[in-house]
Amino acid sequence: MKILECCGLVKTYGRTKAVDGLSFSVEKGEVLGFLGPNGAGKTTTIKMILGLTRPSGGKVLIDRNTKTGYSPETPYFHPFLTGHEVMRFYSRLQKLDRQTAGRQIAELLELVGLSGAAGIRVRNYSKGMLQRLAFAQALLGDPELLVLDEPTSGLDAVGRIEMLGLIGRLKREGKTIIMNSHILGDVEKVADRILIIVNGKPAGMADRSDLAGAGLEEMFVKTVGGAGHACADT
Amino acid sequence: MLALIHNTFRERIRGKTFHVVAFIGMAIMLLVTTGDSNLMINGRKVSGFEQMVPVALSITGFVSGLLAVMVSLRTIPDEFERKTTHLVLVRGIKPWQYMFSLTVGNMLASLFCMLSFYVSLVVFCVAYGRPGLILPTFLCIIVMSINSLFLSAAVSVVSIRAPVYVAGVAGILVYAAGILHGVLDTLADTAQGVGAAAARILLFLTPDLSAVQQQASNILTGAPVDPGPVLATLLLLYLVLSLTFVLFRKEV
Repeated sequence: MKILECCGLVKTYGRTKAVDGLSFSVEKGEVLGFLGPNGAGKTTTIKMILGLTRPSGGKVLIDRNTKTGYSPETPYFHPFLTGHEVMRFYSRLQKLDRQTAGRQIAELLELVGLSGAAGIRVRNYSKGMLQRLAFAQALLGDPELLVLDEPTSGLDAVGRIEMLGLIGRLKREGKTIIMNSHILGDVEKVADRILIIVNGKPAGMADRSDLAGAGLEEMFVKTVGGAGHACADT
Repeated sequence: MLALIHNTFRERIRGKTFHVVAFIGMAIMLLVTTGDSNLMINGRKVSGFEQMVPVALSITGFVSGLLAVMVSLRTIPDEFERKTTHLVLVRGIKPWQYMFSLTVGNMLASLFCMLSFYVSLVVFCVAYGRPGLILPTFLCIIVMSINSLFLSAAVSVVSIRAPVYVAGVAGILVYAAGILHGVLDTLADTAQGVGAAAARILLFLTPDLSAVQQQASNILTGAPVDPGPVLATLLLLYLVLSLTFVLFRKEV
C-alpha cells in the first residue's frame, strides 16, 4: 500500500531545473533511502513532499491525514529555549494534549539520549545534540511518515550507530521513513529500497536484495558515473 | 497560534538591545521630567506639570516607537533565514496563522515595553505631587500604546516580503510621517504637483500618531479627549494586521 507517490516532479529556479521529472512511490512501512551527490535535488524533493515548496510541475500524492514528522539537515531551534521547552513548543503546535505531550516528550528525550540535557538551553548544545533533538521533535505525535534529511550528519561514530539503530527500531515498529543522505553506508544499513537521483533526475532504483552481490557503493559509482554533476545548490 | 505568539514574545523581550534602549529611554525621561529642568520651548522655561506632560509623553512616544521598530524588525526575516519556518509549517500551521502570530508576538513585546514606561510616568506624576493620576496614567499609556502597536504591526508586515533594512526604514518613515501628520497636512494643502500628491499619499497611509499622543496627554491634564484619531489609528491597525492573512514568501 502506497503512502506517498510523486508523479513527474519538476522544480525550477529561474532557468535551473533542480528537479526534473522525478517519479517514485513509497510503500507503507518501508525505508526509502534517497541518495545523490550534492546539489542533486534531494532536499528540494523533500521540500516538495513536505509542502514547503510548490512543484513547478508534476504532483505529490499523499493522504492529507497522514501524520508526518520531519528532521531537517541543519536543525535550528530558538536558542533561548531548553531542549524540553523546544519539545513542548512543537507539541503545542501539534495540539497534543498536555498529558500526552508530557509523556511523549519524556520518552523521546530518553530515546535520543537527551534526558540529562533536557534542561540545558539549546544554544549550548553541540551539533550532534541538535541533530538528536531534531530527530526527537520529528517523532512527536507518533507520525506514520518520517522524513529524515541527513539524520546522521554532525554525529560522532557512536552517535551514528545509535541513530541508525533508532531508525531500524522505528522501521520494525512499522513507520514509513524517507531517509535522505549522502553517506552510502548509512543508507545501505537501514533502507529497503534506494533511489538515486543525479541532476534532479532519477538515475537508479534498487531493492535491498539487488545490492546483495555488488553493494551500494558499486551501484552508486556506476549510476553517478563519477562525472562532474554540479548543479544549483538546492 | 498561542504557542507561536508566546514564543515570539519571549524571544523579543529577551533581546539585549531591547533592554538597553528601554533602560536608556526610561533614564532620559526620568532625568528630564523629574529634575530641576532647564528645558526651554519658544524661549520659555518649561517646568509646570501641565507643561511637562507633553514633553514626557513625547519622550515615551519616541523611545517606545523606536523600540517597536527594533523589536519587530528581525522576527519574521529571522524565521525564514534560520528555516525555523520548516518545522512550523510541516505541522499544519497555515502561513497566515504563522505570520499573524509572529506579528502579534511583536506587538505584545512592544506593548510590554510601553507598560514598562508606565513605571517612569508614575514616578513623574508622583514627583510632581500628583499620585492621584496613577490610574489616568495607565489609561494614557494604553492610548499611547496604540501608536507602538501600529508601528510594530506595520514593520512586521513589511518584513514579511522585504529585507530587514527596508522594513526598518519603512518603520522610521511611518513614525516620522505619523508624528509630522500636521505638517504633512499643511504641506498637502499648500504644495502643488508631485509634492502635494506624495504628502496626500503619506497622509492616507499613516495614522496621525501625534494626535493620538495628544489625546493621551489630554487624559493626564484633564483636557477633553477626541476619540477620532484613536479610532482611526485602530482602524488602520486592523487593516495592516489583515495583510498578514495574504502576505507570505514564495520560498520558505
